[in-house]
Amino acid sequence: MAMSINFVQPWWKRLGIVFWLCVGWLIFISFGALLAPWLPLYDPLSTNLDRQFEPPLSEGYLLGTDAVGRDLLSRAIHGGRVSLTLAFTAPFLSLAVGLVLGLSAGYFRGRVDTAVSVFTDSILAFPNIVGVMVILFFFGATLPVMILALAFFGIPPEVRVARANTILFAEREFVLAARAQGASSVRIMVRELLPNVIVPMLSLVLFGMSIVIIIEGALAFLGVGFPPPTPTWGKMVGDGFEEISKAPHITFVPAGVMFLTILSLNMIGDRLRALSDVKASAV
Amino acid sequence: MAYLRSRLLHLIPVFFLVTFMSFMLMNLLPGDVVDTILAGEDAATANDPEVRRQIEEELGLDKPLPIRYVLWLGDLLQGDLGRSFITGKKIGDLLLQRIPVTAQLMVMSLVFALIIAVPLALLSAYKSNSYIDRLITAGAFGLVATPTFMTSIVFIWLFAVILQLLPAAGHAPMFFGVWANMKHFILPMLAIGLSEVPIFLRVLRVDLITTLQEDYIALAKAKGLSTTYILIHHAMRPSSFTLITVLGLQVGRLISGLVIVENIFALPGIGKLLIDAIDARDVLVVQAIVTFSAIAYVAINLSVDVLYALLDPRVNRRAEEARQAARRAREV
Repeated sequence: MAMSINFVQPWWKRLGIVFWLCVGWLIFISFGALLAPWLPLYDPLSTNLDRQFEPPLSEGYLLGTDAVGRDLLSRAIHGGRVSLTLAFTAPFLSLAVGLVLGLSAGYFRGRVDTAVSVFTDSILAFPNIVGVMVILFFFGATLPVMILALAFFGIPPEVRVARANTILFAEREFVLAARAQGASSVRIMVRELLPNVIVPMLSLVLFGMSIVIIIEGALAFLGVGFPPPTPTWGKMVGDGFEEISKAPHITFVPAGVMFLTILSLNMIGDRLRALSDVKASAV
Repeated sequence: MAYLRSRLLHLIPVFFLVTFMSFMLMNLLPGDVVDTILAGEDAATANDPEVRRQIEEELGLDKPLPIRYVLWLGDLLQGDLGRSFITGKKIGDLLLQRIPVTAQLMVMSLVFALIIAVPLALLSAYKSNSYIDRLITAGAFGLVATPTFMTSIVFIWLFAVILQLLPAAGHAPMFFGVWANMKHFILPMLAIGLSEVPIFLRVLRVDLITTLQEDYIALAKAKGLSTTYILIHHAMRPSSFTLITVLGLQVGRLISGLVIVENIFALPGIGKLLIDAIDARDVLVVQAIVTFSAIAYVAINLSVDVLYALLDPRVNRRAEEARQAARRAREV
């Protein structure tokens, strides 16, 4: 996004109010999901057949209830647990793998570079939602499988950024100085290059988190994600969809929560990237 | 031609790795392959030694893994994807039946996305950093944060439930009439098209802003040509390279979108077939679709490269830049 940065203001003001609203939302939703079992909420699974299809803001139910009278607020907060668990693990695994591959490709160039690019291009040939879906199908819909599958498809962008920045920094004087002092390749990569390369990769992690949430949501919506009755945002949207003509709020409450979370992650990622951006043309 | 050669040399190993990964899906499975294939069948069939022997023979399970891969790939290249053990139908025929629907949806969505994205990108780039540019950029940002299944739901709610203008689901073949056919495609097209718009918009906008600073644009202005003429004839033309590259690289994303949308709107395309096969635990069909979509991706990107070489022999720099820009835009 286009923006101008005023360097006179303190750093936290420079990022703007929208940025902090997004951070606030993520903290709220993360802690909500983390502490959900201990919060004073209804049981997300317990039904109440006297109170079906309650609209939002009805008595006792802030966001209303679904087709079998389950509290939507409680379900929305619990529903974040799966998505956020995935979001806080898979992209970091992608980062770790991408860092190793990207550093090696950018530092050694030549055959290593070719091999890495064949590998990442092969991953890109698989549509990520389809890929994760099929891996879950073949290896079972469990959390570890899902984390690994999501991490796998998150590797290519991390590699690209790591490689581009490595190439850029590998020609700088401090790397030359380290080499002149007799530092080994591994030492140069870890001590000199890694600290410079990892910052732009971290902003990519935020986009990775939002992609993970989108994929999980889509799979759960299609009914090929985690087995029921675990409430997840995507599954809630899917359940509500069946009642959309009668009570659209059952769909739009979880959809809205999901939308805000994805939007916040993208917004923060975008701001951080703008701050840590290496000249794009150098890539 | 050096460019084309290096791309070919790159895509050949990619092709082998991609097909190998698809092939390994079946073979990395915990437990017996035959058991997995028969998981959707009842116990009597699953334990029938005759059935099991037949499957083993058809898959060549008695041969070592590398040989099996070569045989499988050989069959694949001849268009033989094997037979579904559940329905007994040829998988190649199943795919052929479904391709027209998917292709129609794909083409319609891409055309729609371009019709929306190109004028907006021109406007955005021409008035860069203005109020309208920021509005367009913010809109694109919001679209990126809306997963395709959510857009679909909003459209169904709006156009099928509230306004009751269009059907929420279903499909009518062309012989029921053009409108009967098209009206089932409009909402799916909107859902997929809108998810592609921000990508095209972002890449084109940056590309156009760079182009608009070139000397020949200043010259065109000095000659007194109209703004619209300059934008379309002088600024848009070099961006067509970028656009073609993005189209190629977007195929993967597009296929993901198709799977979701075809299932929501009950359109009988490849994506619907995939989910149906997953539900029926029809292993070979699932594997075939994954392989098919990955090969389609490689083939389309190869065509893009060939197209480049034909359009302009001096492509090396321009093509590489376009590729990088497209990659960057796609991450978000």
